[in-house]
Amino acid sequence: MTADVRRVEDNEFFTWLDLYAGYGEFYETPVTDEKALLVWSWITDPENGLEAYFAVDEDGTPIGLAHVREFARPLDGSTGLYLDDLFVLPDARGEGAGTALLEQLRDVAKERGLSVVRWITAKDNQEARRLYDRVAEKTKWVTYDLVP
Amino acid sequence: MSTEVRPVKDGDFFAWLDLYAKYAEFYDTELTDQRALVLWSWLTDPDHEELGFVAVDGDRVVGLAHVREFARPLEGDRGLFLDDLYVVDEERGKGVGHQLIAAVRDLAEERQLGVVQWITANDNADAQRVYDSVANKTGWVTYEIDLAAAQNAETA
Repeated sequence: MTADVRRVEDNEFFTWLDLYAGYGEFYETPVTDEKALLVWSWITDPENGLEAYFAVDEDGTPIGLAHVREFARPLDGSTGLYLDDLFVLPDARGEGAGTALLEQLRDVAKERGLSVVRWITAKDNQEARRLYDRVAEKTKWVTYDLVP
Repeated sequence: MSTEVRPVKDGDFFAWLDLYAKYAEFYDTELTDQRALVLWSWLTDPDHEELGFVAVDGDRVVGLAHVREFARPLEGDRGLFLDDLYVVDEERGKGVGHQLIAAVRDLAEERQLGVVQWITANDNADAQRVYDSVANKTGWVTYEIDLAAAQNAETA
């Protein structure tokens, strides 16, 4: 079974919120109403670079979600595509929705002449990493955070 | 030591280029004239998100840092990403890297951003010593689908 991928549309707030809340739960980061409305305003604002994609099952029901944005890569002199969030409903896992989302993002990036699709994940997220190891390369980058 | 950190300005091009070429060399990346000019145009265009800082000692440029804001959907805020950080060999160990990072942190604070974030190679021990003293190493693993490599393979 394969899933189709399409852009999230302006009138799909509540469908999007269901999925995004599930994602927030997984990362133990509550998606408050305020946060949801802010992120939704980014997604629906054509001036804001954040884009949202749904993976849908054969009935057209959204079962997966991805958020991406372009980012500048100075040393490479190019622009890449950063995948901020990727989520597939627990009940719908193992049926290709995650792969379909990543393949679609790779195609979008390719069409736009972008140089890379990049994302991060938790070291211990084995389920996701099995998928990532199939479609992407694990890099040697270490990420540092400084909270101002 | 009288090193100061300030935003890059128009007259800095050649001094900046000299440093940036060394930085590129360190990362085994060929810095073409075209690429350097594109990046310089980003840094000096107020409408482009990429910003540059230089560390200067008198009229010598001894370090650089390039940053841009990025959205953090799940946090519902924005962060500041440090793309490039470099200090010339002969000025290392004198705190110039710390000064550059402090300037970047100040900018993030001023703009009320949630984090300053950057990546480095896991075998860059020198840099990691500095970073470990000012920031937290995260447990994130980075994955990439490298399209440039795919395109090169196709055209090779």
